[in-house]
Amino acid sequence: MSAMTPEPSAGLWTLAWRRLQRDRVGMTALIVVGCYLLVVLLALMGWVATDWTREVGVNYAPPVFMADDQDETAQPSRVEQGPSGPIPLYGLQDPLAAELAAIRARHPGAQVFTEAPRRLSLPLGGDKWGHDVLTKVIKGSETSILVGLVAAVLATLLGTVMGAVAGYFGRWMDDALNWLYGVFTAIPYLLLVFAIAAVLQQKGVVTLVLILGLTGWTGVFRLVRAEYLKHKTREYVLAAGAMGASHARRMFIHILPNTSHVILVQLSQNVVGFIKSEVILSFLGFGVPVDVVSWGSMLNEAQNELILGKWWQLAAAGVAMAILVTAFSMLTDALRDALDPKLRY
Amino acid sequence: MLLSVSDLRIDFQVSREERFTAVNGVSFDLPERTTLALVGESGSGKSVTALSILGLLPKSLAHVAPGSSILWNDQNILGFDDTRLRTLRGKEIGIIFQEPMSSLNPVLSIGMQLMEGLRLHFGLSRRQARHRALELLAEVGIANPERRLNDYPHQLSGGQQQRVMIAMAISCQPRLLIADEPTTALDVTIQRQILDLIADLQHRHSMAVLFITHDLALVSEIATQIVVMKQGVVREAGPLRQVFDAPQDAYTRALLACRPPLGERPHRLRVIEDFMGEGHDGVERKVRKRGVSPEDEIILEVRDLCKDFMINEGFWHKRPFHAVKGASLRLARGKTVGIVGESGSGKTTLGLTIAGLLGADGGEIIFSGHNLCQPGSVDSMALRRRIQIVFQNPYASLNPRFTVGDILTEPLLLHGIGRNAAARLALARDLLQRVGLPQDALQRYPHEFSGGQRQRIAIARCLTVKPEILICDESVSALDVSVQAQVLNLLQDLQDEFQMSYLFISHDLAVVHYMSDQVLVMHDGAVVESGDADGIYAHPQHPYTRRLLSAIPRGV
Repeated sequence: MSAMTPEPSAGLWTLAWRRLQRDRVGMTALIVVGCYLLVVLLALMGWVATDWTREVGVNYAPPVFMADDQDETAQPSRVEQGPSGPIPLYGLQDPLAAELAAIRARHPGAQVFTEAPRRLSLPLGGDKWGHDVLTKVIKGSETSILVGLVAAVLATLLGTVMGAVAGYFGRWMDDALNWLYGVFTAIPYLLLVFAIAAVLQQKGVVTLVLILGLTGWTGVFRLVRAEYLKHKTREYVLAAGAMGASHARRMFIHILPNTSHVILVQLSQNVVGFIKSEVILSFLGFGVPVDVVSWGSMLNEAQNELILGKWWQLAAAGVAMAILVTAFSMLTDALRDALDPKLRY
Repeated sequence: MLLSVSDLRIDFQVSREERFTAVNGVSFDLPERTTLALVGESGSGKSVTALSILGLLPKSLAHVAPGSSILWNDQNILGFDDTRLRTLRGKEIGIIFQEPMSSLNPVLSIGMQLMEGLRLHFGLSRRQARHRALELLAEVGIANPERRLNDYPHQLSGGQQQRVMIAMAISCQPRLLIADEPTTALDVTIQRQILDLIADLQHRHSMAVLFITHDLALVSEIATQIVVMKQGVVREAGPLRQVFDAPQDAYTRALLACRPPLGERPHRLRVIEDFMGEGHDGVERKVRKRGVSPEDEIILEVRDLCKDFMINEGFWHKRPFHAVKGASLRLARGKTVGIVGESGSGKTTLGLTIAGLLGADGGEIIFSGHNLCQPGSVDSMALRRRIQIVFQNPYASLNPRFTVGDILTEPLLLHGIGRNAAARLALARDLLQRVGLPQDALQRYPHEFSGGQRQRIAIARCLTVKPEILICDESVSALDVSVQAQVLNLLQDLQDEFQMSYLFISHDLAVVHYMSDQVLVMHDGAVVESGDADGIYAHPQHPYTRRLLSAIPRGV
């Protein structure tokens, strides 16, 4: 005990942060996750990867490092890339020739849209329509990570409140919430997801978040309930009760900070889990709509491309996801070690 | 010489840079067939010393200094390899620990656990081992050993579990038995039986015993040699009578004086500082008067209070367990009622019910003219505030995520005392000073304080709302004797100053006697005897009270 130092002593979070800083693996993971979040933020602000729908490359353009040694931009567009010269009419009369002439006369300066030349290779390759895979990965991580984060926050919030109520009050409230928990865990996960998707009747990012949030609270609920069961009989809670603290105060001001390490670790585990769930759901076609790109939808497209031997979209989405999930899991471990209050006694 | 420890020094690696010296140059000799007691408070290094004899300390954390030696029959144990250590453990040296429940494997029957060691060390067949196990159980005084052999640890009481542990420890006929606080977790009557058993076995098997304890009074009943330790250093060593009758070291003298004496009642208990510091002759000789006179105002009356707990039996069935059966008491202003009883006697339940933390199932609690058991009839919030409680475990009763300032200002905030945050902080600061803690404690967290300091914080928290009744539920039981005396003195001073009434709940009969004007003896949820403290201690009427009092280790 440092008896005479004048400055206020470090609180739990400061101590946890100091411990985390000493953990080299944890800090590396934190930096990786931070980079991903930065990318998401930039994409959200519309500063990067806004135009992933533009078809900038040739179909299945290979990644740069696999391209033949040719001068790319000088290459003319390929045959199937739309009309660039007069259409052969095979001796037939063009029925619209007169109107076309009239339009041209009205707008003398106008030109027929001619597409920019498509690139033969792209940094990480292109997909079936020639979308840039790099842009797609960046835009896809925005969707996937946002879905994962928001759904995890929703699920953790639901689980924490229900777990707190069940554990703290016990009796019939505990029974009722446990029954609900039982129902949710008894139904096979995917069937439950399909059922909710069917009820919500529309595809979209919001729907996806709701699905994941409404089905994912069970793990948090179980752990938080156990923590509350343990803590509600602790003497400091009894002492608060003897002081006249209300139930809500005891639940959320006294006990909650003491369970925060469990909740935080669950939250970050849920983020990882939901990112993976989003991928699975999008892969199965229950995820994001066609006009949105996510890692899951990329992997979904990749299953057809693989047959043709075009592996780069799969690799790009897979690697991006693997790095994030690994880093997040390691961060979770580091957090658990850093926050464990038992280390403080 | 059976065991000879010399210049033992053990360092623990606390963090990468930091080392903590737990044992610093400890030496003692243990001849055959004698009992040596290692006495000290928490952190004195007594248990670490004992564990190092068996090589049970984690090698990665504990470093034994090169100059140390532990000679067992003139062989240095510290140089033994794992194989040699394993034959030493169990076969030549047996050990029993403080918590019998956690020392026994909960999923194996006690028979299995007893037979394991026998088969391992002697290569007995299953049949022979079983036969020997039965003998051992009978020897340690377990009735019906045939039936008990297949029982699991949770089916036995704490005392029986400790008997099984002893049976395991002596099963290989060791020449030394190490007993690490073997009775601390047990009730006083059970403690007496276990002590008798150990003494009896020692005699019969001509073992030496290394007895580790914090309780000096206990030592005088069992040991022939004493080693007093403090912070890893031996303060005093010698034969029992010499140490008790003419203690040379100030610390030993302080330890002997800190415990409340049963015969008299000094005005203040003497504390370590009285001996360790200068001018220790300023000890008060005033004697405290105890007892309640008819003129004293009664502020709390409990009549026929009952409390049941529902126990689930099977899926549908519930059975009531009567924790408190019709307890009655009267508490006068500025006086103390002590409640004594062993574990499971319902004394804590009674305290929690009076504090309003548990609902009563019958009877009345009348406090300043209101019956607290009638819900809604009174403004319970305002009344409850005037009854506060100090819990046993100072490590659990303070929220680890709150600073001491938060802990002390919260009740003020809840009851609207103090105009603003600054005023409340000022009040908290005054209270801190009153309980003898430094001002800068306000910004600190509970884990930075020692047990005694935490208990002071808990007391200060109660004082914030100016209670008239303070319930002390085993409030000093978890503290070291020297700290115990300080906290008891503080409680006495506060009672004198604020005229508070105490409900003092404890299993420690000497402490209850020192603190109480009246005493209530509880057994199995019922009050078996109550009355004037001196009267009950001098002339116990009920057979249970008599049994309880005769089991107290008398010391000296």
